[in-house]
Amino acid sequence: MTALLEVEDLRAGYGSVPVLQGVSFSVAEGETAVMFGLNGAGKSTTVNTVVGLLKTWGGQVRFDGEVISKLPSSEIVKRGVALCPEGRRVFPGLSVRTNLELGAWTNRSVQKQQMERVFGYFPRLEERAAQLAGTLSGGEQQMLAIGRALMSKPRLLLIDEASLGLSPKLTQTVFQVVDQINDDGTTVVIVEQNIGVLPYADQALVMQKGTITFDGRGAELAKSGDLRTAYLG
Amino acid sequence: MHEAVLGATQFSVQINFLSPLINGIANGAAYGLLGLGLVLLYKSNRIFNFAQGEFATVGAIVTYVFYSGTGVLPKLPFFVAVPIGLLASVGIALLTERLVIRPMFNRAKVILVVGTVGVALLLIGVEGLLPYPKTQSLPTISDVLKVQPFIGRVDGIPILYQDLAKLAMLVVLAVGAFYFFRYTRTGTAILAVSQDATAARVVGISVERISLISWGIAGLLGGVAGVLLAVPPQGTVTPGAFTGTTLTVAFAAAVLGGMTSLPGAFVGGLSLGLIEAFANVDASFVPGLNHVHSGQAELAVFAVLLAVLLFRPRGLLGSET
Repeated sequence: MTALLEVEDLRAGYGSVPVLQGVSFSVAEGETAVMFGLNGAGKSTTVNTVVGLLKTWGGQVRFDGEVISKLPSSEIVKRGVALCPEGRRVFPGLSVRTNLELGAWTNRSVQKQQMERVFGYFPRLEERAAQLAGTLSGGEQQMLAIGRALMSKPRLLLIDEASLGLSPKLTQTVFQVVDQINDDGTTVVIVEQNIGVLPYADQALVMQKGTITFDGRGAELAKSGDLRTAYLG
Repeated sequence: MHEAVLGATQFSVQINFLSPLINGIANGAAYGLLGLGLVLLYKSNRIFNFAQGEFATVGAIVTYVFYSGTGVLPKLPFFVAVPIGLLASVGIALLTERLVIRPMFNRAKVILVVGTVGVALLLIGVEGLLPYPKTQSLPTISDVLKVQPFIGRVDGIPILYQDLAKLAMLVVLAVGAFYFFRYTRTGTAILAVSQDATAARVVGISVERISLISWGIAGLLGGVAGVLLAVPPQGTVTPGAFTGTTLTVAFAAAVLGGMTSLPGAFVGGLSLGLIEAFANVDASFVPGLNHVHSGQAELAVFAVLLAVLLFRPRGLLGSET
């Protein structure tokens, strides 16, 4: 399978503090890749750099063969990469519907079609379409954040900490919907600490101290000791 | 006209409520016009823009120098000079965003606010260096149209074309801005950026472009205020003309209306104009108040502002509309 996302020797950080120390991996089109690691390993920094929220210090990111690491985030989203950020970050003072409409900012032609698709995945959002996003529960906000990311009809969806703060039951629901999104043709990269997502992973990545320490199939990771190492050191 | 009897003391008094009503609406429209720009930038950048008064002054000065043909400049018709003045206000606002706000965009908001104070002081200084007669005023609408200054009289009080123009412009701009934020993509994007700039970037909104648009609109609103307010009897094109008392009361108006509400700036401006005007009504006939001659208006504005901050800090109409 051809790689949709290729990350090569990526270096980035905050201020003068380096976080990514040369991250390299690729994700094949149509797959779900899950990135595990402890807090501070560099998972969020990786996805934030891929979508242009952080500047690349070195190395490069290619999407569908095109180097995107020097582009502003607005151009990266236009090319078909979307991020569901850590902490949901919905627009609290705007309605659910307006939040979703803003998700289609770069690709307005698909707004109606994607809205129906999102409401299909998350019927609760349709019921609450007129409600202010800030008044939704944590789980509903997570659904909204994923839905908003889908509104631009991305080819690659990056989800940062999908299960953070959610109940185990709701977490499973979110994982199942993400699996469905992947089955419908969107390539997915999930940053997670919850190993409950492993059954949905085609590819698994483990990050430690700003580098990738495991890159293989999800089933391989389940059998190997790398996952234990990633969490227990 | 009222004949009033208070307690045991009988006295005759003539209070005309119409005059403060008309004056209050006229002044309130001025505060509302400046307040609109303040609210817009508070909504979009979450900062108080202390340079808003100078966007108004620059618009008034540039309109004046082209209208009067100061120095080597051509003498242009008023309705040609006004767009040039407005363009100057927009240009100054855009430069402020590009050179002062954007480089410090990720710094603490208080630093941006101090930056706008710096811009205001710089502009006042530059205006002082410009060679033009600084005590002059812009013509009123009636001067330009060569008609009598008032449309009619109500109970002997003249209703000025200029005051009507201010009020009409305030209504048009407040309603226009309300619809802009509620029904346009750019307006919604400005709200999104103000609520979470990172999330706005995530959906592909260019935060820099949105910031530039917000400042441009604020500059335009300031310019319109300047052109309408730099007229006789009080208004002049003096450097810093609108950064003193006018801006202070405009801030109070914006807070009273609710800093995030555009209709609130309209309501707050008119309310404060009326409070000021009625506070200035000659109350010397009231026993115990016959020594009060000045300062009532400022005191009333302060009292109202304090009450709002204490009991309703989000203002009369505070909302994201």
